[in-house]
Amino acid sequence: MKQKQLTEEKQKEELKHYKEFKRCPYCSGKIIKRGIRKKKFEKVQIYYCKKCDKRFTSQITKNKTYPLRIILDSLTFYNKLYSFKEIRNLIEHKYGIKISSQIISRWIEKYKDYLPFLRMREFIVKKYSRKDLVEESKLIHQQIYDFKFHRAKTDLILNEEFRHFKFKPLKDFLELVSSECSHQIFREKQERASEKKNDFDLNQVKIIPKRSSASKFANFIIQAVNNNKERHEVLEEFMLFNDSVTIAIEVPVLLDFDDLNHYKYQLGFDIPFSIKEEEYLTGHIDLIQIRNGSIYILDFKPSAKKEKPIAQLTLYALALSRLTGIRLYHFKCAWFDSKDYFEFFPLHVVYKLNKKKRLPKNQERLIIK
Amino acid sequence: MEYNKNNKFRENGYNRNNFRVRSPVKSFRDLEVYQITIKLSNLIKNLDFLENEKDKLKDLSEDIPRLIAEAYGDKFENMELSEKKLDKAITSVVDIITKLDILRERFLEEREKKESLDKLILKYGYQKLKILNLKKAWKRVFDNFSGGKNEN
Repeated sequence: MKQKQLTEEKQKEELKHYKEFKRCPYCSGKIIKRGIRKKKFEKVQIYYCKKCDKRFTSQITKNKTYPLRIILDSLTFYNKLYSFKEIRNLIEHKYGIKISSQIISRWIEKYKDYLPFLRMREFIVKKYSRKDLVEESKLIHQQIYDFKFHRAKTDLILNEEFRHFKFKPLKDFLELVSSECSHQIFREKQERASEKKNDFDLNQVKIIPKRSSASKFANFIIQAVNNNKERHEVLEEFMLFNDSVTIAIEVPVLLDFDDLNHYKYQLGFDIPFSIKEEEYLTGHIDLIQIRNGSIYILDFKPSAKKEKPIAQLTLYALALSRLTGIRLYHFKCAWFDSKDYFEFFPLHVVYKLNKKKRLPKNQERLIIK
Repeated sequence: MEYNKNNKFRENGYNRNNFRVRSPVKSFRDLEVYQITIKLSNLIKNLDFLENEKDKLKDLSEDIPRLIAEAYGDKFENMELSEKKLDKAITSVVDIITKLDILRERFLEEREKKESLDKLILKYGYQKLKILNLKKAWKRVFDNFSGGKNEN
């Protein structure tokens, strides 16, 4: 009896987790709630649009007996190198629902597009144990941050292409974060990079909208979660374990007096603010990816089209470049949601090209008096 | 360029601005283990009921942050030496814990003293784990360290 009650309570929570619609996704007209579909393990809200006469739910995945959260979880467990038998036990312990190992393999086949990690998995299984796969630690700063670093994937990415070999310092840095990070600086109330206003000169900065797999992932995962904070966590974890480029999440970075002066006076960057001595600018980077020969700093913003977190992302890039010793030239920043993805070069924000044409050495400029 | 004029290090040919160790912290003083072990050694110094053991405990507790700081510096050139120093730091933590345990047995009926000793033992236990973690992480990174230049 107790178990039945527990499963019922869990299912009620599940229903709350699903994304809620406010407008019709087809014609953006007004919608009303019309009934609940009772499935074997869950209940799904049905919506109706009067304008275009359509009935629909908030999910993209259709014709599935099991709740989407269970599917997502079992996929991530598979990529955490658990066997089918262990996944079965874990899911039963977590949700109180029994699944078979056949269905897990069917899910993996079905959602292959969302699991590019599978091509790396066969190499990683031979080389790494489950313990060595990921470095995890809970950073208790002003909030609790779940820092995670995928060691095996980073190794493979660095060895995969020759142009990635110069990013080894990034791996060293991430390796040291959980044991060396100076928590007391983060615990004190320091200025946060995410609260910095956009004072940078945005001349010559191109914001490039692109199609990216990051927003594809977001679109897939967000339908299972309604709560904004939880959405962040679930998306980050899913991307870390299941895609082939994300190497770390929630990375703490800091910028201090010396770093900023180095940028300003040694490299001649124009940065429109200063930091006092013994004060720091802190922040936590959502996602770090390595692909196409550059390091990507990604930030998930629920309404990406309306926001421009250029200052925040540039500061992250400046801090990470200084902490790892990799040139700012190699960094790219981007923010995304389930529909849009925008990207820019942080170097263009702080360093402007002089448009005067340089003359060849042996040719002198003509001066007309 | 004001900053450059004020920078005295430039005259010696050592450019402070260009240099930053490739790690989340700038110097050993930012390490959390170092800071907490110093605080704990101060706590031991302030306990007034340790009698004959006080001097030994004080020496041992002051050894730990010193060894960590030395190991931090050594790891860039000689990882083996720094590993040995960290091991030494761990043994001195264990020594402190055993000494405190013996004292705890002596003051079993005096509640206040016992509780303060219990707290210290627990805190030193955490520090032991943290030093071990530090050792593991350093070994992963600095074992084949080539000491490359900073590009910036």
